[in-house]
Amino acid sequence: MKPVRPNFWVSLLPALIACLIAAPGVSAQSAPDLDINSAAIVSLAKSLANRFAHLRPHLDTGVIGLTHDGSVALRDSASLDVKVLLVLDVLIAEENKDRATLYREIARANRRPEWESDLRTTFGRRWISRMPAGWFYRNEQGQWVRK
Amino acid sequence: MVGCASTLFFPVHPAEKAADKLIDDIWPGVAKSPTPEAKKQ
Repeated sequence: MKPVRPNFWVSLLPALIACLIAAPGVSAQSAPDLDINSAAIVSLAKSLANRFAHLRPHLDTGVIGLTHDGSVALRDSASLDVKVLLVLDVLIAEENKDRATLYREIARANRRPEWESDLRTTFGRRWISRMPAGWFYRNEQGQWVRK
Repeated sequence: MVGCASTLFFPVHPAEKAADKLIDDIWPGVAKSPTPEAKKQ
């Protein structure tokens, strides 16, 4: 039998790496659940849930919408009184601060701070996927779309 | 390069499960049906 040269195995490496890159979902399926039970995460989720009661009417009417990167943004304030708009501006700023902290805390709780950006993207996708029909979201091209 | 490595090893499926669980808590009764995995978590 002809002996296999070491160079043969080295030549397979690029193909192996390409397979790993092409099929990230295979390893993802068997990955353990993320830790989302830290005190900070639970507290942030409560804060977001409490604020949702105030944001929901504006989501329902399309005054505000979700963004592809996991935040909320003002969409159409034409119908709003100035005082209401000022309050809403504060609510949006607080909401986005909590959301940003949530993504950072999940990354930190799982000892992978470098995941923060990917978590934000994943949450952005899931918020939009889970939101009711009729709400608006801003896509990656900056366009507002009604679901 | 760091970004590539992060994306390559980022656990997409567990992250989606975590997102669905938290979205259920934050938008109770509002979010469209969660994935079966999120229900189990």
